[in-house]
Amino acid sequence: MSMVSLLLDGQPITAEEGANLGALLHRLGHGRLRVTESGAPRGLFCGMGSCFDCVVLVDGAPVRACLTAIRAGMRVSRTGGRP
Amino acid sequence: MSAERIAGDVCVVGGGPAGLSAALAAREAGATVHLLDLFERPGGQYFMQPAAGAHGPAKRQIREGAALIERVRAAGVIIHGEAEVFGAYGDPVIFAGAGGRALTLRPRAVVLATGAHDRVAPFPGWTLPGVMTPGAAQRLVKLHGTLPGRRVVLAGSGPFLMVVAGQLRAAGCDVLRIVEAAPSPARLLAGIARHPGRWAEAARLLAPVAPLASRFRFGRLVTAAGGDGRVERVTIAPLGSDGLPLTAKAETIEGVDALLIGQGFRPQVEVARLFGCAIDFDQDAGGHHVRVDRASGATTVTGVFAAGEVTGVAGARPALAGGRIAGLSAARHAGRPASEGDLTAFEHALDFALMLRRAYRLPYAALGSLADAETLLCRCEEVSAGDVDSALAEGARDAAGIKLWTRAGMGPCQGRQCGFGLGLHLCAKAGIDPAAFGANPSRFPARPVPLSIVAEALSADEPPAAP
Amino acid sequence: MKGHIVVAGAGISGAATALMLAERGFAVTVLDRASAGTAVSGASLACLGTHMSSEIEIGQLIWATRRWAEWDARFAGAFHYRRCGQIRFIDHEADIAVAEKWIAFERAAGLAPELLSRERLRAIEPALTGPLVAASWSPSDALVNPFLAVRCLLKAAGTAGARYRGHCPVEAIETAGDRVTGVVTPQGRIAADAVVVAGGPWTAELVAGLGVDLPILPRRAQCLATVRQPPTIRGVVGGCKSDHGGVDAGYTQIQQSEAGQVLFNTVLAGGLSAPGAQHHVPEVDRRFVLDSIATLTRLFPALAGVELLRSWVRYEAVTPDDRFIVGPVGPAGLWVAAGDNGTGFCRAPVIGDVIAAGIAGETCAIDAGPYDPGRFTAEVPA
Repeated sequence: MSMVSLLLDGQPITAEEGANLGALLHRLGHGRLRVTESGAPRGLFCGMGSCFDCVVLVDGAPVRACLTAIRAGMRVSRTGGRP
Repeated sequence: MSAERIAGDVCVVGGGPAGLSAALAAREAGATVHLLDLFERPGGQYFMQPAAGAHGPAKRQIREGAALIERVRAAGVIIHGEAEVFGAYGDPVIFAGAGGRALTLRPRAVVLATGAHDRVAPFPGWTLPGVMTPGAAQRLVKLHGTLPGRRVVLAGSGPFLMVVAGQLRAAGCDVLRIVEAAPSPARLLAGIARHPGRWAEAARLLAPVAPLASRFRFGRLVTAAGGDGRVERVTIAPLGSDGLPLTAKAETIEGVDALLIGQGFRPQVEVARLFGCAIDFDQDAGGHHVRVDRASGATTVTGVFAAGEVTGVAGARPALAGGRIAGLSAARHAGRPASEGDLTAFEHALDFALMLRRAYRLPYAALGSLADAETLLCRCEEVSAGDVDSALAEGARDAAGIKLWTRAGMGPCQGRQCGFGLGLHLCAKAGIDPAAFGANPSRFPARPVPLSIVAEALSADEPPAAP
Repeated sequence: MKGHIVVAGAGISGAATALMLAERGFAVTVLDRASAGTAVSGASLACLGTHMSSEIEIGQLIWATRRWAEWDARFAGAFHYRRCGQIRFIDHEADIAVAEKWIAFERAAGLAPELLSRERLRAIEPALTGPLVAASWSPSDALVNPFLAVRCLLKAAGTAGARYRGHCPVEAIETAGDRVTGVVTPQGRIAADAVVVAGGPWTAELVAGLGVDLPILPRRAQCLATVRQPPTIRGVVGGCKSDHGGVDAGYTQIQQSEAGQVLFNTVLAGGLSAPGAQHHVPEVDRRFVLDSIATLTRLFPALAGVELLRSWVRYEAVTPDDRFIVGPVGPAGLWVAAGDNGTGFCRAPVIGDVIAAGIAGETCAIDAGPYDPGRFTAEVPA
């Protein structure tokens, strides 16, 4: 597994290609992945694609981080997971 | 891009123990089989597969899963990973999205093995980062080399808590407490004692958690999680003689950085509902689940079979046995000469599961009393118990009324997470039977899916024969 | 001492009627077979519009839209009233004349619709970048949240003394001689001096037992919704009324809810369903899904990758001339208010006033003639 570059909220980071994005964001964010419409912080909850609490934008499209594998050049945004 | 059109004999939805078992059985009976699974690698929850190598206390289980998956592939089952079914009609026809592609499947028979997800009753603080299900923590540790936290509390009910506790400890977590709602392990141990065939397995599961014996707290519920931006403390209270939490005797565990909480599992009945399969309700089986004929795995819809947790939460052994029965029936329905499945083996496996259910009957009234007015009952749409109570006061009494008046259930999870909590709350507040409350009726699409994928999948479908 | 009125059906018609009756001093009990507003009304796209709607009812529609604006002010925005305007897109050159006829007619009635230039269209609805021939625009059309509207009116009726009982279906309407005396429900008899049946597609079967034959049939209506989006679609977007085939022969409505979900449907002129169809709500049909997505993404190409989240099906109550039936029928004391035809939400204040004034023996504020139940000759039973 190689290390690749990607952007997280505009900042470059490196991570293992193919590793789980949800797990990465859990580590980097100390459990926090996004903020709800009312400003409440949320993190991983169900871990299996069922709860949609881990939705972040990858290359402009909303994805469940717990189901997403890291790829080189991804642009991940934690601030746009929900309008 | 246009959709991939797939015909064939049998389509299996779900690649956990039940789906893998069904796919293998159908294939071995000579059917062409396509299996759709949500994850990159099949295995579901029970047989989840890390990217490389099996290690840790679950390695035997991982290897068992890997072996089954290898047999399934070697037999010629075609596995479509990262596929999610969003539509189904009784033809049968199945519409799915897989990555950025659309799939349109017209099999002769379908096996639904869509499994279940962890079920959590809402309580104050349950939406804080760091509060997650035991299943989520298990995925982090088993597959992604990530700890949910360093100082964790496990809570809820069921043998799954012990399984996860052992895995977390082996991975380096300090498991501060295991907070179990059942009053003692007595019923579980007595139940296991009656099934000598499962003693070795039970010993394997209990051994990693034995060193944590002093961390267990029985007969207790988590009544609150607190912290600044993430969980930092957990409050637990014993159950009083009235079956409700005794807040006077509550204690708070400090220095926590992850709370893993779950009260059993909820069958994922959405695709079954799309087909129109009859759904029954049994809170101890996980709530709404698909009705099947045990001997054949047949649902009430011709050509649609089901097995595993989606037919009632019972664990891996009944899933494997029931999956086999359903796979053989599906192959037969598709015109292949398949034998009948082994009903005796299935029912034997079910006996053990039913024993576990009785040992871990949940204190539903207590769980339904935990939410305060600010506690969110619908995480997606941020609908609080207070919001729901306002709707109740104005006369809403069922899922449709609560949903339309508060937006609970209208978010992206489509009611999967909030149904359990809403049912408990309405029962506690207004005496409404959770079964009568009704589930969020599944409507197309069963998952959020891009409009372009929907259009591609539906366009690719041949029009049904004219009447 | 004014009498006790039972209103059967707590959709927008029943709620508005209950409010107006209660404010006139009647004792009112509103009943619904399920939760208020969860059948036809709750699934409505709730456009309060005067544009390309009905020639005969233009006066009533204008009156209704004024009452809605008053309710919004009175209830301080409780149902997300938004005067966002309505666009009707035109796909055939020949339909421009159709649009111009409607525009002229509505202007003569004092409204201000217009045909839009390309620049004006871009300014009003910037995301509508797909191809079309022309577009009309009615700035005064408005949207509300249908559930909140039902809830708000019902609550106000309650404040004025009305009682509401959900999950209490009317099983039968009782008469003595040639007079209504009450209703029978699973929770017992309720005596009444008059009964108003505002039961949408259930109306006909409720009164059939009294020898009243109403030409109201159920018609399936469907709708789709996306996940929440940032504000993209500003107003209501509908198809121009047209004599040509395809999408123009049917009905399109697209809008974005307050919560951000894009709600949309495109229905080719659909057939009626059999009586009783409203009891079993089916799945959305595939043709409808394809037509709706095709129309939405043609007009708003930027939305093609947006996720579909929900769909719903409901049954509208349809009459032979596309208008409500509101007024007394059958035995003394029996009133009906049904026949939304898919666009009825706006007319709720009219319905309420016609019924309330009628029961009170007063003149109603607007001409109730178009809704007269007597306008249909005796129907031969099907």
